[in-house]
Amino acid sequence: MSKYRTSDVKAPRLNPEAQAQAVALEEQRAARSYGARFEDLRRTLHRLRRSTLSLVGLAIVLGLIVLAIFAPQIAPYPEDIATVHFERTFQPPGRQYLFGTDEVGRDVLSRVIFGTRISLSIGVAVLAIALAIGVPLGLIAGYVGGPVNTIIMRLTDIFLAIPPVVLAMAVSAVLTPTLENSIFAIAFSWWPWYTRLIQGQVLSIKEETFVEASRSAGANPLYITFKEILPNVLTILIVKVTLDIGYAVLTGAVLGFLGLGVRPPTPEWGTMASKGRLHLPTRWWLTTFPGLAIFVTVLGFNLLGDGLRDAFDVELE
Amino acid sequence: MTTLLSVSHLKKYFPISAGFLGRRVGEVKAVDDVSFAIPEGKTFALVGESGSGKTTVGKTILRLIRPTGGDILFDGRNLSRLREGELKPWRRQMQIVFQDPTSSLNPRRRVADIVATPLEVHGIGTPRERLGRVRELLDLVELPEKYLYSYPHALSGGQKQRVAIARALALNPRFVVLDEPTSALDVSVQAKILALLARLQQELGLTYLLISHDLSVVKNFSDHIAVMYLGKLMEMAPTRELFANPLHPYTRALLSAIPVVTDEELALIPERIILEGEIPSPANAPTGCVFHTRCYARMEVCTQQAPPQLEVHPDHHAWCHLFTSEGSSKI
Repeated sequence: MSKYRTSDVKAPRLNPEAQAQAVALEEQRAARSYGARFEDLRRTLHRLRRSTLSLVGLAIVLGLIVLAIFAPQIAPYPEDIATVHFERTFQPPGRQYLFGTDEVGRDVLSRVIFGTRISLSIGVAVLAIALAIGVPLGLIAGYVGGPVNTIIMRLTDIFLAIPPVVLAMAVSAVLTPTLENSIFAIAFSWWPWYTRLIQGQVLSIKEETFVEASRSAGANPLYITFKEILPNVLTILIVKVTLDIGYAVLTGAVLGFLGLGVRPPTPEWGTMASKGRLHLPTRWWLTTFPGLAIFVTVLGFNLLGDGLRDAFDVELE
Repeated sequence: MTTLLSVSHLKKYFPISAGFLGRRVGEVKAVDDVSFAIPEGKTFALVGESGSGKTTVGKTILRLIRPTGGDILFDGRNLSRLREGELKPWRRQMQIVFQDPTSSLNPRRRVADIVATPLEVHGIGTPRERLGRVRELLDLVELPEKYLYSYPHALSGGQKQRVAIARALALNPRFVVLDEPTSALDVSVQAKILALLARLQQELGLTYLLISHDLSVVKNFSDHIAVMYLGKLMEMAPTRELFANPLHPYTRALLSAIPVVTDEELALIPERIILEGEIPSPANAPTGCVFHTRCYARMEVCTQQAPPQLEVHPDHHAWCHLFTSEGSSKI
């Protein structure tokens, strides 16, 4: 039988020019894929570098991290976190006290710098908890489907029906106002967003042919979830987490401002702004500088998140 | 010649649900009473328009879809009623190559990981040994080793399909479903991939189920052809016989639609038959012979009774009333 002769299958005749073009294209591809191991990362960084605003965001976020870690070294009066100085209350901003001093004579700049620690730990811890609860639930709901999906998603809907700040307020009103409880209260209202995001992603990815290919190879649901689906939701998660850290910091500050967050004398920005409110408008520095710190933090994470979103080329709802 | 795979009375009905409670309001008979057998080492082609159920047949055989009824005998063992856990050893012997390599390769995994997936899933070898096997496989499908750590987007369509073929062969399967393996590729690449598949079949003694809508591919590549329409078989014969002597009106229409270039080629194909209308919705399939709404040789009986399987010539089967006692007078 002659059926295996390749000449039986007619290849179309290309003109030499098109053929040369095709060969050149192929070579370009080959050259590129040599360093393919890090290609994705390189491309992402390249796109990030091209956008000034995201670089500003990155600089702010890195700056905040440095401030948080080296607060005792950077703050001019680190002892002001715990001690009072009645001899120098309400000093306006000047050479000695850049951001002025408060009603018990503490240096506002030092307290704002130490506040970075509180705010960043709220932001990071809230997202860590939200991810730890939200992502597994979303994976299970999306992959298993059926009644399991219905139960998880309706539960999520109940949480989503209440505005996050209101829910966090309700929870912290019940609990004693400590840093840990603030974090818990905010995380409590945060995880459902991740369940919904992941569930939606899994639902669409699990219909992809590469999942079916893995199944035909004999892969079990765990393999498919972790090796085939999860890598495809990582970029969208990174972007959303970056954006959300800023919002979690803001929510923490809102709780503090309303007196439901961390209690004084802990240098929390929202609490500081709330206390200083009594001395407005004459002693404006008590509210303005903590407020600016909140503003810059949220802005920084937002710019970075937006930049990453464009760099990774993902779409959030 | 031993039969490796045989399918008998295979059925797959997809339920149509409606309303809030998902009430079952009907069903799509994607595959309805399909039977055929594939001898070991041969290529069996399923051809038909999109929506004819040919892909569903392929996926049901691999148990990627659970059949509604019928038997799937692979090497003497009935796979149709095995549970998911019991299927795993059989999955080593049966693999699939999908139509579109862009969607069948995970964009976030590298070639080495993709090709090693079946090995990893079945716990074969250490990571180092698996990498060795992956290199071997890439060599087998003629993909340069420098692509080992590339992501799929860095590869061309043909290269991606080579990766998909390498993955399918990782566990040394005996049977491979080729689901339109070339229809997503450039014409210039199609021939190369087909030649590769033919070489692999010869070297490894593979048995293929080729699913295609492209008769010119099927003609050169397969030993047997079955023609499907709306979930049912219309005609089944060895390739040469089918092209030389098409019996079913639908097959004749299909053959007449093959594009030709030269006059000699034109002489080989039947007079051009143009079918009217579209393939009907499988949710509301016609009564009697499913093809009767578009058939140019329609008779009274066709609208009422489904035609039985008839062996018109040795090994040449047709499902058409033209060859029953009612229709024999018309020929």
